Amino acid sequence: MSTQDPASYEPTRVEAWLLRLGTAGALLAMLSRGGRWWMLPLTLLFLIAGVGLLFLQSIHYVAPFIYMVF
Amino acid sequence: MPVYILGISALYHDSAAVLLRDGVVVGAAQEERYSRLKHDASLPVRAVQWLLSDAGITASDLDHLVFYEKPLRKFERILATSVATFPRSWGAFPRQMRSWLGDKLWLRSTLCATFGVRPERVLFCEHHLSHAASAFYASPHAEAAVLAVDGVGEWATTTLWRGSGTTLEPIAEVRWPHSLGMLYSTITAHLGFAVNEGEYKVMGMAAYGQPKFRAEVDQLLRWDASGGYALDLDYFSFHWHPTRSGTPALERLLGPPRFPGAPFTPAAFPGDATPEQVADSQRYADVAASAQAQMEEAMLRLVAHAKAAVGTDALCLAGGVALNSVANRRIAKEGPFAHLWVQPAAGDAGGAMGAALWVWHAVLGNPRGPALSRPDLGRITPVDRAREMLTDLGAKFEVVDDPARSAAADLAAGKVIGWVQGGDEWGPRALGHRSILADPRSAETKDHVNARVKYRELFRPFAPAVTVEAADAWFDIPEAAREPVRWMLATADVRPEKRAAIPAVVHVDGSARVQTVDAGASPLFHRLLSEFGALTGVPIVLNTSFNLKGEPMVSCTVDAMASFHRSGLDLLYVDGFRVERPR
Repeated sequence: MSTQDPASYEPTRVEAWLLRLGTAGALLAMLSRGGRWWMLPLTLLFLIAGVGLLFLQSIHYVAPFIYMVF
Repeated sequence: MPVYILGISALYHDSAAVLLRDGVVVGAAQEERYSRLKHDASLPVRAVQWLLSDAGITASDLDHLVFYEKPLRKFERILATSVATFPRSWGAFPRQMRSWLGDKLWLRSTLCATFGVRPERVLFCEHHLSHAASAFYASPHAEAAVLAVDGVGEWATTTLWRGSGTTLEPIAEVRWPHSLGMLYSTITAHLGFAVNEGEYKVMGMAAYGQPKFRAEVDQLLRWDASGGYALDLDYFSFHWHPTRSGTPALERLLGPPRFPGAPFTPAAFPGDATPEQVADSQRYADVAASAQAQMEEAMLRLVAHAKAAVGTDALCLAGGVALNSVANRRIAKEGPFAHLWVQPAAGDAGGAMGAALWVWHAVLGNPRGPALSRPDLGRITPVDRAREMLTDLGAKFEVVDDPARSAAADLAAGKVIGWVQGGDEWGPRALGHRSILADPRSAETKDHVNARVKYRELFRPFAPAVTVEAADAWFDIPEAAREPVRWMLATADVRPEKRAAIPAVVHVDGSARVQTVDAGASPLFHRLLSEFGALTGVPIVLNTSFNLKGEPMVSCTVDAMASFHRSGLDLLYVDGFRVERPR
């Protein structure tokens, strides 16, 4: 869209990455201000557990037990 | 130099853009009307292109671009909910993370790159503040209680505000996952309709039932002494399941869910259905009636609390739940407020307007301006362009000097017409600019338009449009609902002695979702109604949105022609031209 307007802003690749870094920083700051640092390790654990469950579900003789648990 | 503010709502459903010039809405457009994808959630690129070109400006002229919610806070809520509901949430979590880490989280850079606006000009407004602002700042009230009720934004699902001049002060809130909007959506899904699309069908279905499941649906919701509420989460899975919103416990409570698209054949019109099918349909209607009654009483409770906490004469409503026109009627009739104002695009689309108005009034500190008064804030096709399009499409058309008089005569002769005049309507209701119109005096008209023109379910009612001058003679409109009925946002009882005269627009319970039309806001449509009244003695027409099933409302001449050809419409009035069907 911005290409139709030569005066409009078009971020360079570096600027786009800096904006994303700024967003990540803002997210960390928000979690910190809200006292939600505890969510970071839990989220990591969550990700690892999720990958593990996906792996276990792919083993056909384990999958029915996973299904029963959840 | 004028100050331009662009408000945007997107990425959930019904994306939209609104442009303000010095605080005045100069255009408002929903992306679905341009992309032709119903409830289009993508960034409203086409809508913004139209708004900027219509205003004669470019992106570099924008002083601010404001998004209607705060993505980081929403992401925080999704993470926290996933953690709180682990391990049940593990099915939804990867999907959500893909979507969020892929693009939604990086919205600031996406907005800058897509719309060509510098990062320092991009702002974010909280979701419920956008809703509240869309209702309060667009209203004519200097002081009001403001209630926003929807599914969810960042964390809030129901918020109460005190609106005074240019300030909105938060008073109370209910937080996720406790949500009246999600409760109604869960029932919508249970009844076989699409969430965020079929809620108004539940409202229509409710009129065919009795609230026989009231005790059951009351188990889903608990109220506390402070005016807040909580859902019994044993019955809900919307907060952790990727696709299902109710648990098996809900099915045990309300019975088996209705299959999407299953025939609806209640006792009122059983057709060829078997007794079992009729019984099932009647149960669905009773569940719908129970959920609707519960929603109405829930809103009345919230409104009573708002009055006690804020104490003003006026109430402003927004959020998807504010589109429940039956509940709005009860709020106007039984609630404690003398004046009710509902944002016409009360759902997420309206957040674009609220966010933009919030920047103008709350961030920049400018005084209030005129209230929103016209529905036609979207795309207009210039007459020359319309003629060109019709010629290119090989349409058989004629120029009509007086479309209102000509259309009224065709309607009186029993024709069903497409009516495209001026700009698109703002919000989900067709208010006489992108409408299908028909004579309301015959009962067959309703079935004909449902089955042969719009190809939709037979149980769904049609709305009447009436001149504001004649409205009270035909409808019992609560005093507080005078503004909402201008935008077709509250139902009213059709006066018993008049029902036989307009059977096509009277719902099975004697009500109608009436629209009153005044000459100031919609002069051409008002004149059509007056002309039809002069010919027939009935200043009312059946008015339904000009779209076919599953499609958004038509926007330009080409859309109108495409729908005209694929429907059973007899005639099309588009931008001053009368188009006949090819033989």
